[in-house]
Amino acid sequence: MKKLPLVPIGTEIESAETGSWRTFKPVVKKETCNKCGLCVMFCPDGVILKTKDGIEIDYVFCKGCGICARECPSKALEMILEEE
Amino acid sequence: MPKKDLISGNLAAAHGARLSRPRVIAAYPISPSTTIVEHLASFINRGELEAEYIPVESEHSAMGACIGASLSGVRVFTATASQGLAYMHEFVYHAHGYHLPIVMAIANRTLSTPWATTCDYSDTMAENTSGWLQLFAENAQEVLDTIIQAYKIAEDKRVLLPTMVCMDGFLVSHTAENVEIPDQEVVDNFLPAYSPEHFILDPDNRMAAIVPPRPWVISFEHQTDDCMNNAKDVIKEVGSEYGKIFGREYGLIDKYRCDNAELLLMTMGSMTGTARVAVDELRREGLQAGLVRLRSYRPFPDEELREACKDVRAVAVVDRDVTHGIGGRGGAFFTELKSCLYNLDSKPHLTNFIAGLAGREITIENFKFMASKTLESVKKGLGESVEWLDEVQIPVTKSAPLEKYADRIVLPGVRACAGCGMLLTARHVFQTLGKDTVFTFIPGCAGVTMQSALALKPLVRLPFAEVVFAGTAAVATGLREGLKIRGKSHVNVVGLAGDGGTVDIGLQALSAAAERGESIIYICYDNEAYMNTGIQKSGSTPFGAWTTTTPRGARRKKKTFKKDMAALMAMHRIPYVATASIAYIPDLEKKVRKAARIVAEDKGLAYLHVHAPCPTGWRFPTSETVNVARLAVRSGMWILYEVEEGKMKLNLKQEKRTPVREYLKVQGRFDGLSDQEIQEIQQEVDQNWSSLSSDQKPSSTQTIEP
Repeated sequence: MKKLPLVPIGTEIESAETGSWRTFKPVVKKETCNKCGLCVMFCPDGVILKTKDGIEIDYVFCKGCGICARECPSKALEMILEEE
Repeated sequence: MPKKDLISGNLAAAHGARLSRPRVIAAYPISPSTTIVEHLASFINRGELEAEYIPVESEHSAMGACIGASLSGVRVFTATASQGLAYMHEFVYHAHGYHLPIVMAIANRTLSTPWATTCDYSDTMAENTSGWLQLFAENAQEVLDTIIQAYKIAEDKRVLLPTMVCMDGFLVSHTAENVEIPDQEVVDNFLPAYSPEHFILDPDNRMAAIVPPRPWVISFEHQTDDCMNNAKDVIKEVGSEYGKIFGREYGLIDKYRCDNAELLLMTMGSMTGTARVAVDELRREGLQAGLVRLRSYRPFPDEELREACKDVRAVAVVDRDVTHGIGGRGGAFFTELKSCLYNLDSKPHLTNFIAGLAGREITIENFKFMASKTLESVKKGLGESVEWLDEVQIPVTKSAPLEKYADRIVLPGVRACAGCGMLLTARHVFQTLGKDTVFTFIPGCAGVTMQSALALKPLVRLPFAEVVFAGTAAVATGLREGLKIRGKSHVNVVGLAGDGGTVDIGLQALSAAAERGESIIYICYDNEAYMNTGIQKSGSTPFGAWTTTTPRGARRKKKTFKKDMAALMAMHRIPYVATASIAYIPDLEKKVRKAARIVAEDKGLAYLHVHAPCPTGWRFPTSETVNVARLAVRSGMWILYEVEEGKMKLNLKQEKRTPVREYLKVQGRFDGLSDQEIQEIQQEVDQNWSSLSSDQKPSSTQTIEP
């Protein structure tokens, strides 16, 4: 049996794929996006990333809350039902 | 006719309490507790129980209010568990000397640390010298039955002691069973109304509890000890009478297949059901096994246990607890059993098994192993021993890809609900503060979601410790002082708590840290109720909002406005107080930077109160979180301001405010508010704004300028 540390401390970062929670998926319409970054700021989980082409949504983690689409001033994000 | 229903142990406890007709229920449903008081709040709301439910701000006050109510001469009820019971301890002890027959349901859960919210008996075992009776139920039916009996036992003039009715947290409390719910009339005949004579505070019959001459105290304790001893007979009498009326008889212990047994398993609580199956299997396999379940842990039934043990060769005692440092080592049941068998001429061999801590399953195979292990040591002539069923399997887990987040403090993958306002707050606060930060938080939404449950893996690239509910500011204070001594004054020390952990149970420590001038950053994410534990009312819940402890309806709804915590902090004259909102992130970040600057200069406490809507608890779609936060600000329900060195500055002047109706109507928690109630809220908001913008200064903050 592997011995546990004296105190339950954690040093090594580990994350889980919360993308599996999603029912609706935000999809960016590149031509409409004005790269303002509001979605980047308002994503609770911080999984919308700014790239030089605009924005990229990390679907590994995106829970599909829809705040990005709701807050987008140029309506460049659309919530689409996840398929099986 | 009694009714049968498929209900949880929590609901069974609530029914047991309802049928016993308590007049006052005081509880803090949080750190942690169960749905028992939520059910009771609903009973009261529906007019099925004539009682006052006091949603106090901590367990300390829960027991305080119970003691007060019991002293007024009425029957009282409360429920708690784990940390909550521990926080209550001072008053728990207090109840026994006044001989107040308070009944308290406990869903036994682990006392930290290590943190766990699952079942074991570390919480009540820590109260085993408190002068309370402790009855351990095996299942939901017994929980209901025992609560009714508990009042009759506790109020018996030979006893007059408070009583805990314990059930296994989650294993019984949160699972459903078929339970027979007796008729009120039959219970009323069994359990007469409470009419105390020994001690009551009432001008019509004046009595006062005096601090006695010191040498008398020993005698008072002697009487209490006799009462506890008398309880053995009373428990048996009441259990037998209950059996005659309701068809289910109870005693101090519960025996199963003990005839001609050579080996006994000794258990408590819900593990007993599994142990019965193990005994059946062992008997089939040729071993004369039997089983004794301890129902009454306080008083400890020496005679019954001696009788049960006198002809057996060996006993395997299972403890869902451990008493660190006890003579002979082991658990509480084992230790006390040993002492009660001391005078037996022929003593059985004893083996103690520490098992099931923090809700670990105890299987049929485990019990069979315990039997064979115990017999093996008898055969080998070994002495008594304490065995731990504690094998750990470390899972091989693989992290989701995090390459894109090299500079990120709060990593994605946090198990907060989709659209969480707390997470949006925490993510920006910590990112702004940077890596020279240490923080402490409590088991609220942040505490339970920002670490991995599978293994020892954090989701935040900062050092942190999760501490107890009332202690955020106290622990942060100690951290700050220690780091200063170690030459690390530049490190930001942050206390992060929700509204419940701040405006209710954490207020005392926070207020004191502010007054002492501790240079810590305190962040309150305000989601206006206890969300992590299931949406119970906090001191920050707004007027008229639905929560599970303020259900809709005239009897239980939230009738007061939320506590103005930021103003209260400003009255401490600390160098920096600010309100913020997740709809205004740049403003939040600016305030976090300012707070960091102020504590870096060692000027004192910086307090940030962030309005952080919760889609789960406020009943709105997850996409609306930011919009709801924005509407709160635009309607003037939430005001963005700073008080820096006593100077107040409004950050957003709202010349034209959106009507509050617009803010309220997008949230399900405000459904059913009448026009008049909405008008009341509007008036409150208007009044707030006019007092802010007029020359009239609040009396205790003379330096505040509009």
